[in-house]
Amino acid sequence: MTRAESESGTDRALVSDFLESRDEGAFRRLYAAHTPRLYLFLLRLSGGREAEAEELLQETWIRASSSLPAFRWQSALATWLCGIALNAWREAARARSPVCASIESAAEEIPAGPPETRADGTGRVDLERAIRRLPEGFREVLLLHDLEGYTHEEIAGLLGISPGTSKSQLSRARGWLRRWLVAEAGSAQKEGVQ
Amino acid sequence: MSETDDDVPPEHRRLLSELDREAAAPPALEERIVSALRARGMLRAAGPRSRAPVRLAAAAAGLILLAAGFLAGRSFDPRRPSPTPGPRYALFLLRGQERVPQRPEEEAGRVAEYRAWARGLAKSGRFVSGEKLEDRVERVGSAPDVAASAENGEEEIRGFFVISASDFQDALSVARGCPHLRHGGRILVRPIASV
Repeated sequence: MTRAESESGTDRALVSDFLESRDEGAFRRLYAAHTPRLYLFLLRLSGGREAEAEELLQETWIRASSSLPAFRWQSALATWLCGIALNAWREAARARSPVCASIESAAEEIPAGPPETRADGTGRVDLERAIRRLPEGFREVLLLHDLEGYTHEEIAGLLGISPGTSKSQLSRARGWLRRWLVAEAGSAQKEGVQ
Repeated sequence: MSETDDDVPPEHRRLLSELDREAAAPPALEERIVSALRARGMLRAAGPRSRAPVRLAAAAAGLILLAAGFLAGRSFDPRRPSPTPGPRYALFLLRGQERVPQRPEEEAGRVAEYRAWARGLAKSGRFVSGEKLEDRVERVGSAPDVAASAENGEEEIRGFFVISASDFQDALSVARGCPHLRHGGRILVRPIASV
């Protein structure tokens, strides 16, 4: 049995238990299995704002609990949950700032230079913080593709953009991070010389 | 990263691959979400433990679950915070009346629960160590040595965690969050003497 098959079997059992009983314990088991990944995804999407990520996680589980009976297992449960979380975030973002929520308009926000950089005591660069500082549209695509493993076609469906736009946004997001890495390396070299 | 990887320098790829994929949500958030679902009529309050038969006999399956949880805690992200210095507590996981998983899927689900919990502890710097124990028990002392099967008593210790906590109440709070309780197991919390 592959890992994916095993996870799928586990998810089906967890969902089946929950839907059959609507029992609190069954929900907690489902919650425990999927929340760590969902929470970090939302935390990154929301730029590290914990209160916002918590609100979104709650909204995600409310929506998921309501929609689970209609879930047809055409994707992995984790993927489906991630999509719900993303929609919840995008709706919240639209309410907060209709302009910033548009991936096309986000392209205009991309900074010319790298963001503030930091290396910790071991020299490990703070890529996490750099990702959180990416403009929202770029951050969405980068997270979905490079960290969550979505294809451009899937991202296009989720975000309402074309696969080509998804590819181009990913490329620009990576370029932004790359510039930042180069700048970080240069900064470390200067410190070494001094 | 499966597509358009040509423009990704190896260093960039390495850094992305090192990023965490999971993070522990605050324990209070789970309670908040459960309350919200209950208020919307989407959840029934916790009722009797189980409708399925409860087996008290020690089962290898259960031990595998514990092993998975402990292992997850130990092998989790090497960059996790070091255990918080301060008082340490031993959490002995007793068999109690936990329900033994009946199906492989259910068993795997239990593994995921223990793993998530152990990872949460590791993330918060509270996880110190954990071990599963084998079934075999030998009692030694003034009385004649007795070999005892683990199936003989509900006080069987299935495994243990050592955690750091700010005080005894905090340790109890950590123990209450352990999935072992939700499945009918019991936990004995003991402060570790600082000598």
